[in-house]
Amino acid sequence: MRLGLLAIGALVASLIAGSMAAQEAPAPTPAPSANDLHEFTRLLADPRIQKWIADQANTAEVVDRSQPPDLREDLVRAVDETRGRLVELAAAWRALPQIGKVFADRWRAALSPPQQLRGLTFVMIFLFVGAGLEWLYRQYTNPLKLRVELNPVTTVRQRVTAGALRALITVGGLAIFALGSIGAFAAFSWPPMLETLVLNLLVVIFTVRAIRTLLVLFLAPNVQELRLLPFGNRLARHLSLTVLGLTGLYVLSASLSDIYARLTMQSVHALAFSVALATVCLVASYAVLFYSFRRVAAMNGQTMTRRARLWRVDLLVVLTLAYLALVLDRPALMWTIVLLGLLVPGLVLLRDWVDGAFDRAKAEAMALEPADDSIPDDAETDADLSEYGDDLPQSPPQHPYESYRPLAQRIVRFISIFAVGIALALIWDLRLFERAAAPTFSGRLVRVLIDSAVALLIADLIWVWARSAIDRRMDAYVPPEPGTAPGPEARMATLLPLLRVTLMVTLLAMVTMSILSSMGVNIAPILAGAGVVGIAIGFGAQSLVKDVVSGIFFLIDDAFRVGEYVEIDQLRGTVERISIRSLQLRHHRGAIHTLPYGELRHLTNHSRDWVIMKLEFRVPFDTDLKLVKKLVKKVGEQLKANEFYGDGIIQTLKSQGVRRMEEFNMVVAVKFMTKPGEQWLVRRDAYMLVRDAFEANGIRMAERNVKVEVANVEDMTPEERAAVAGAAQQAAEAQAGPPKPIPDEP
Amino acid sequence: MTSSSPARSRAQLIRQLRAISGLYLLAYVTMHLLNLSLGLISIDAMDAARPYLSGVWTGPVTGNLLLLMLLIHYVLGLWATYCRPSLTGTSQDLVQALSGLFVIPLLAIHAVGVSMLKLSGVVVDYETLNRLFWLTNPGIGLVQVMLISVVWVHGCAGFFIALRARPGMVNVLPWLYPIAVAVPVIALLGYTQAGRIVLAEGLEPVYEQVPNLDGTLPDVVPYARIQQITFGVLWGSVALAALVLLARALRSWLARPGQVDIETLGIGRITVQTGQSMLDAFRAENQSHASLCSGRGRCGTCAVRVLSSDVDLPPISPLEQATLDRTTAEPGIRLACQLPLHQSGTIEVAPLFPPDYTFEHGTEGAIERPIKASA
Repeated sequence: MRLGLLAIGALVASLIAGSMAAQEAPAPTPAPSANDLHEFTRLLADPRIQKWIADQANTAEVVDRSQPPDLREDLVRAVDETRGRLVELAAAWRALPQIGKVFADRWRAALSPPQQLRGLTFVMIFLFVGAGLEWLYRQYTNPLKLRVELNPVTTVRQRVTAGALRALITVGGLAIFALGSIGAFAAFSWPPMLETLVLNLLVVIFTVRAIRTLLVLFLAPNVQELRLLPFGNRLARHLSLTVLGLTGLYVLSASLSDIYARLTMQSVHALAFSVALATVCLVASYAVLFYSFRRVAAMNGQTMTRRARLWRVDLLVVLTLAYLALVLDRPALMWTIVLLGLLVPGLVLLRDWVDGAFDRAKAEAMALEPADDSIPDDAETDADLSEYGDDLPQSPPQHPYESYRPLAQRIVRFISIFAVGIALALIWDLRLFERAAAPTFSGRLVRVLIDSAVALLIADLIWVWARSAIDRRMDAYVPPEPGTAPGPEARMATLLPLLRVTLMVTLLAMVTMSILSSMGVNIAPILAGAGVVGIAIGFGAQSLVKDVVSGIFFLIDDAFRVGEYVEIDQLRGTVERISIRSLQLRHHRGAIHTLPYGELRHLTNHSRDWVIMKLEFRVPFDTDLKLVKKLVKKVGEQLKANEFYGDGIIQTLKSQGVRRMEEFNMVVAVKFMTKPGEQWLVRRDAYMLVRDAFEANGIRMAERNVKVEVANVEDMTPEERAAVAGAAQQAAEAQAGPPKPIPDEP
Repeated sequence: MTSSSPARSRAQLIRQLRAISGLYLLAYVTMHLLNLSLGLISIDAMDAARPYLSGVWTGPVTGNLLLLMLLIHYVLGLWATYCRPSLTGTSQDLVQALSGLFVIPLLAIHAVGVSMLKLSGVVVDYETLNRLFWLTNPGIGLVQVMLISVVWVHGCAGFFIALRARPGMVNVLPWLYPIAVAVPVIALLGYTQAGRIVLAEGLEPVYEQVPNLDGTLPDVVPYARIQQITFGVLWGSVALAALVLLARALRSWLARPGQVDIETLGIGRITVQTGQSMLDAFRAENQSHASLCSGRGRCGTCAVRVLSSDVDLPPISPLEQATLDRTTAEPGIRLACQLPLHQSGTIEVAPLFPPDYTFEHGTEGAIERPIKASA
């Protein structure tokens, strides 16, 4: 895994070297003299010349209109070129012994010894200028850099910030160095040969230092706390040294072979020289690969794993193939081999790196938070899983970082593949977008492929992010124990699967549409058809849609949860099931009501937070109210002390005094506050205990007694008395009215 | 607290001599470089300013004084290079020591050549020299550029290390840095420009002898003798440098038999070889430790409190005592840079200053005890 880094470093270096070679400025050409211009106009005025130019233009048009070369011609040409190249290589092999001599001759011819020495003098001066400016810059930035290095970092964010700041300071120094040295160089004009030489040298120095800055950013060989990669001190030092050495060698070779080619005008000797340099690089890379793998294994104190061996073989094969392609003068093929060969190991490496970063971030975040019992085994399972990839079912994620892990991996993968694709297109000079705009079949194909790939990748990113976020919340949801009230997250169990399905269907539809549209299928009728069908279904299923939509809003409002006692219009009951269209209430007598959400105007929830219950007792007018208060208080204490529901009482029973006076009695009110659902039990016991207490203390409940005062009762006969009593009974009963229905409560 | 034992006064004298001679040489080099930078205008401007910028340093009296200062600085520098516990503590130390050793071999051609030519009555002006350096013998020209770089780097290293060790200099340093870069850069650019002029002209140098006061022509220029002396100085100084380095290597080879455990309070334990100073041990193990003067025993910021030790620590040297007297007067405090580890064992120390301490922190940065403001 670690050696991949090395290879990537090598890749970066060679990229820079390649771009460097491309940056060489052509020698300035002097402006034509007046004589030349006169001659040119004279020639243009000549009719023969004009005819010839016109002919040439006509034939050029004909050639232009002809078909681009087909595959067979391409192949034939490639084979021919390769054959020619092999011949050249054979010549170069024969010329190999003379490269030193030829170089020395040309060198002497191009630059006399005093010139060489003067060139060296100039290089020294420019390096000194650059280094002096950088030293000056450092004097001012060093305190900051030292503070960054010495500040303790605890979180990933701090580490990344500190590392980036440190790299930024170094890059600033590097830029000033480049500005000082190359700028001082550019301020003077030079003979072309000397310019090539000096510029090449400066650029080599600059490139190697830039690579070193990158390495310091990622490996931080001297400051373990700022290291972005999870390596030990020795490994980091070893890796940064080898990578720097190898890439430095590549850059130097590229520069040397460029100088040689310019000096000897692309001769056979130049070819021999660059092939020899490439061979040296190849051998050095082989040696470094073998040595480093062994060394790293030794540092870890174990023999090489099968994986490491595979890596080594892969890198060796890529190196060899790239070397062959380079020797055969197929730079595009070489870059393709290098990029594709490094893509797979690079992806694995990046995945491990993201995993490692997340593990570390999680461990650090956990260390900051109060420790939890479930952490250690969770971390272990994560570490195990990271070996196999993110497609396996993971253990329930414990930390918010977890939901971003697959997303981060996708993004990293997305960016790498995209970058490699773009790089390949640039290397092959495909001019992708031009070609995609061309009305040919291949142009269409390219465009379809690009569009589909982009649509798929973006949809994949969104889908992974949404899925992981939804799954995390779903996993965090623990169904309530039977008998306990569910928490507010219970509604998510209803909403989230719906959301997920909706999102998936939407994404699928959009991706399909965009692919179809890029393939040239006219999707307007499909959209219109879907619109018409949608309208039809919408009308037909108006109430269904209404139910679903209002259901979503009820759920978002958190109006009710499973297990709560609610009242809707005339219906009461415990919420038993919440579906996407309706909810079901279980009446306490067993009946189930099914209510579509669209029918709900308003809803009363009896199970939220607290319930106040008021009870009334009718006592005679002669009752001692203070005693009543005292007794109620005592009963309240008894209730609170009850082992079954005592905890559920928020405010225990207390007297509210006389609420009102009635014809024959006083109404004494008491009230209590409990958690929802406890009130019935408390009420039952409260009635019982209060009655008992009243009875024990001689307070009786007022009873309805009708006192009938009859005048001259002594004079009445027993019959008359009986008749009067009967009439009074009737009157009293008539006043009381028929018995009221019992309130509907569980 | 300033007990003036003879040993201490001798050590301080040596140090002051080195500093004064170094400053004198640095002032000379600065003027000389300023003269060189006039090449940006023209070679004639260089020659016009020569009597005022360079000539005053190389008159009959001042020339000998300059030579004396150079000798003093060279000898004392060699001695210091030998004595210093480590040359590779920081890159700055290494640069200072190596550049110091390289100065004389690089200087030999220029100094011997110019002074001998002058002695034989040849007019040595910038026109002649630029033609020589750029046209006739670019190898010597290259050596001059190396000489300027090396001398300036060496001078600045010593100068700034000495200044950083002084608390009063904190506010001056940021103003000196740009000057320290500007002087050699402009001088080198002036030299480059002069070279381009010379190359464009393409004229060979002429060595014309000024007639003596009595009208007779002086003897022929003893070129063979100049070359002989130059080579003598060159190889002699190279041999001396090699000798010093060899002696150092021998000394450190003789004294590395054991291992020392250093436990730093609140930081950790390191196991290091004997035969280096404690500061170098910290550096070798990448453990950051404050040291503003880079281990010269001047600034006192590398001070540690020795909590416990089962080895016999060497007695406090006069120089160390002087610095300790100046900065902190408590017993049990040592300067890590002046504390050689020469026996196996365990030492437990606590640093007095945080690793990123500078005098800008004032007194609040010190971990234990503020440093006394030195007069």
